[in-house]
Amino acid sequence: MDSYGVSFTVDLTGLILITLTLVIISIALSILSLILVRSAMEKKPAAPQKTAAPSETPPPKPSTVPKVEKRAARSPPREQRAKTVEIKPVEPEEGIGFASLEDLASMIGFKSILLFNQSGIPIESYNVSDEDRVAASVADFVSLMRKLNPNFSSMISENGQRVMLFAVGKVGEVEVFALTVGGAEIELEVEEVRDFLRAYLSESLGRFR
Amino acid sequence: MMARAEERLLAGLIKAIKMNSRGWIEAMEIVSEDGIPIAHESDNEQFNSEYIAAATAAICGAISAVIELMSSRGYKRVNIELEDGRRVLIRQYRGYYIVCLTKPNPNLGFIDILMEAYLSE
Repeated sequence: MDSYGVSFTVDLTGLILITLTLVIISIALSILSLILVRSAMEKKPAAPQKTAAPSETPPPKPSTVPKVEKRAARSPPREQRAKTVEIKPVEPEEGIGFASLEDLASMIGFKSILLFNQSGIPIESYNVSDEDRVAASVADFVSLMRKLNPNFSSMISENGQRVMLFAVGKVGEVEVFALTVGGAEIELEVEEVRDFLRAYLSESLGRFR
Repeated sequence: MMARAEERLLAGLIKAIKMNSRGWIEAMEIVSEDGIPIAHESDNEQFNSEYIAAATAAICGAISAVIELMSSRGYKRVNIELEDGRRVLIRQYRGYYIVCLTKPNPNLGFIDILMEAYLSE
């Protein structure tokens, strides 16, 4: 009876020990699996994009996506430049020498030029009829565009004529905009026309100092 | 001495503004906050600088009092349209009032950027 009892207790303790070992091993394995799952979850968002891009490459997509990226990368500096550049009066000797807006228009080949402020008040115009109404309407359009896209600084419409609308720069707190109309043959970009108008404004504000 | 140098600088400033105004500005004057005329530029010999200075101080004082009632911190400029289409534009600059009397129906857009170009701080 004693030997049976002893062997029973030995077996029982052996069983308990085995169970305990198994429990400990299972806990350790579950912790390990949890850690592995978490690390895999952290890696997942980056990994599929990298792998998916080469595999899902239909011919048109890669060509369009980089273009958009390029445009996005190019446009912010222009917009920032347009916003931050301040127009200051320059000494007569420093200027390019435009006597009037008409001079500038004929030099760069524009039919009409209108300069106005953000409140829709015309500053100066060449060959624009009803400039008050045009300036008010375009300023309204600019404010709408700024609501939709706070970085809006320029747009070009090309359909028989080349119409450009853009922010020229700031004079103190006043932001100056320009609306230009020219023939379709004009190849000047907004940046070039903007520079001409900035030079003209600086000069006309500081002609007599 | 410093005050005189600043007054001379301000006088030069209004002269430059008036000369660059393409004829839209008839007269300009600098007035101290207590209504003393500092300097003026005018084509009109009948321009009464003392009267304008006193009127400016009174107008600006009244506006300040009204604005205080509206719990606003202050104002930047005053624009008065006269019956004949001329404008009286007043703005504050370095503790002075710059008063500008325009010709009838002026190009306000141009005068505005001209004043901004020279007087923005």
